[in-house]
Amino acid sequence: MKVSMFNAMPFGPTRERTTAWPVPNELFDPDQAIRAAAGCIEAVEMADELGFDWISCAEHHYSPISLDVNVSVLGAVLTQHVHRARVALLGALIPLSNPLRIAEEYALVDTLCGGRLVAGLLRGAPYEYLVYSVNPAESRSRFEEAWELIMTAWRCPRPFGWEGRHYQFRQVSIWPRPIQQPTPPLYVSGTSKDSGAFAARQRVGLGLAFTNRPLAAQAARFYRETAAELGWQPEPDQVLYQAPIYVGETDQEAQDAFRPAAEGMVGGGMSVGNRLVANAGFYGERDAETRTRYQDIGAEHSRSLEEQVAQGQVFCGGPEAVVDQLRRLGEEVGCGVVNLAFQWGVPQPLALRSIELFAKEVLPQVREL
Amino acid sequence: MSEPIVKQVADVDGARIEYLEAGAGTTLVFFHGAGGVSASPAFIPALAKRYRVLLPSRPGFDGSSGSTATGRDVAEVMSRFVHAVGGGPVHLIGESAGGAPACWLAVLHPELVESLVLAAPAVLHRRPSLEPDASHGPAGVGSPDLGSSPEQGDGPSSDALDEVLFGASPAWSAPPSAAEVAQRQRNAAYHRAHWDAVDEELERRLTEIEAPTLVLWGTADRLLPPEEGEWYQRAIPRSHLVYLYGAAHSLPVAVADRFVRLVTEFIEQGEAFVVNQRATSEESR
Repeated sequence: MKVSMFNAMPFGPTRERTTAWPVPNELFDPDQAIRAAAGCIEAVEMADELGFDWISCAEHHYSPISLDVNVSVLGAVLTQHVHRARVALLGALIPLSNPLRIAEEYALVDTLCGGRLVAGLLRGAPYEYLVYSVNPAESRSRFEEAWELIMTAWRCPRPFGWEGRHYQFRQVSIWPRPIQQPTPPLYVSGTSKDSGAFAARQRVGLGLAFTNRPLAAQAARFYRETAAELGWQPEPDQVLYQAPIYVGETDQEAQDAFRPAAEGMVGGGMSVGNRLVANAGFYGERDAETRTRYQDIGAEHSRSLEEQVAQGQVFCGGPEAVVDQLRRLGEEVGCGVVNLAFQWGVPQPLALRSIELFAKEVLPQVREL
Repeated sequence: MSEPIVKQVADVDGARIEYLEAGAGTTLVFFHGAGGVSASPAFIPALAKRYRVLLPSRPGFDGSSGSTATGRDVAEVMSRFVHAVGGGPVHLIGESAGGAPACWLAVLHPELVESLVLAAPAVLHRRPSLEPDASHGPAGVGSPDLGSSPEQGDGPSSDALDEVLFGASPAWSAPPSAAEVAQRQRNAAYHRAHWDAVDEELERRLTEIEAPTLVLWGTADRLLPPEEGEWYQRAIPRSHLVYLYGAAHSLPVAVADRFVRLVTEFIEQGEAFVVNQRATSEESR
């Protein structure tokens, strides 16, 4: 199993606790933001030196949960601090942006890191559709067209135009092209059946985040079965599972340190946004299962740390316990990559210690899984 | 109100050419695919609102006759039609199997071709080196299993073939009649028997085309791989390639609105059609 360190560049606690979304930016503190950025780089450099396989980041908006509003910008920064691991952008929300801009920026990041880019191209969580005022009912068709446009921009060696349903361009010929030809390793998020089927059709990797082990196992099984029907078999690395993690010296110490963060992980305003967007047609009829899943996950976020660990929604414990949790994840989901969020609601010194403990005590064993 | 579509016959130096004509104004000549000419497609009245549209049946198709020994022969016959009936130079469109004679005409008679539109042209027909690769091509690209019945042709002869040619929402002014379908099947069988081969000389001579050229291809074309569009864009000096997302092979029928819009903008604006001139606010209208 390969290990990725997920780097959301969290702002940390605000001076007033709020569950609203968008979070009012009067709570933004410039000095704290600078420290958050520096802390992110510090953790990334440490993880790279300690042997993590990938360093990843993701796009989120209007919240202190993550200051990374553009994976290409942060990804470009990461290329200058990550010298060994792959740089994984997991990823841009392609229906919300200009797809050609994303194609160009990803190719630039791949150039800056000498061909170590992992390219995640995502549809986004429902509430993200409130950010740039994109009609959520068009989410699926925008995503699929943007995907094909980006692939064509990367692969087509001659200038071309594009006359689509959502995007029209008359001359496209991106520079640079990705260093990795024809494309970098590709991932989409695939917790819904539609997304899993899309990943199987496109023969690309499946990313499973904001879910739990049983649901992820179900999604991964559907993806593999669909791929088999289409005549191919995904590599283990093509299934990725993402979750927060905390490793302590002992189980008790880890639980004490991580409990406030894990049990405070209620979606708050994001859940409200998700519901509004879902009701406006984000999921569509075919995604009824996804709607149910979001409701379940929302409920689980208010569960105890122990229940979340039991579901594989977070990983927490001493080194041996975490190895066991990851072993069970591998056995049930069959994921070849685990994307771990260490800086998840815990103070920076504890997060760094958790990373170090993981690298020394857990990583060698996880490699063998 | 739609412009009437009139069926006519021309005698051009001994060749009998049947054709449909609609509209008035700048002349646009459309070279049909393997199924021949039909009045059913909705793009004909759409284009006829602005242009005089001529749809000739080439020798051997429908009721047309004339010399058909080589692709060059056909192009020479059609050049005389363009000169005599079209009053050339004209804007020329070649769809699918009509792409080869359109290219030949542009090579041999540049003085007759103001601009050229190639809609999924079949000049490189089934080049082995350009076989679609499912792992690289856009979604849905692959060699369709269309069977080998000689009755199958460039018309709605079966659900599977309809889907490949026209996609899920074909644009017909009126559903093709049984007689039209039967005629299309005869045309397609004729095409397969006489013209289903690579014209290597034409492939080499595409570089001689002088007219500004628009190459169109549907990303969901399962008959000819969309990647072939790159080859035309490389070979033809003043050419532009535009992919029509999600569109099946027969673009004028599969995505009539987008086809008509692109053709119109290319004819009206020439190579400046790359400039976005669509107004996005009331102030700029």
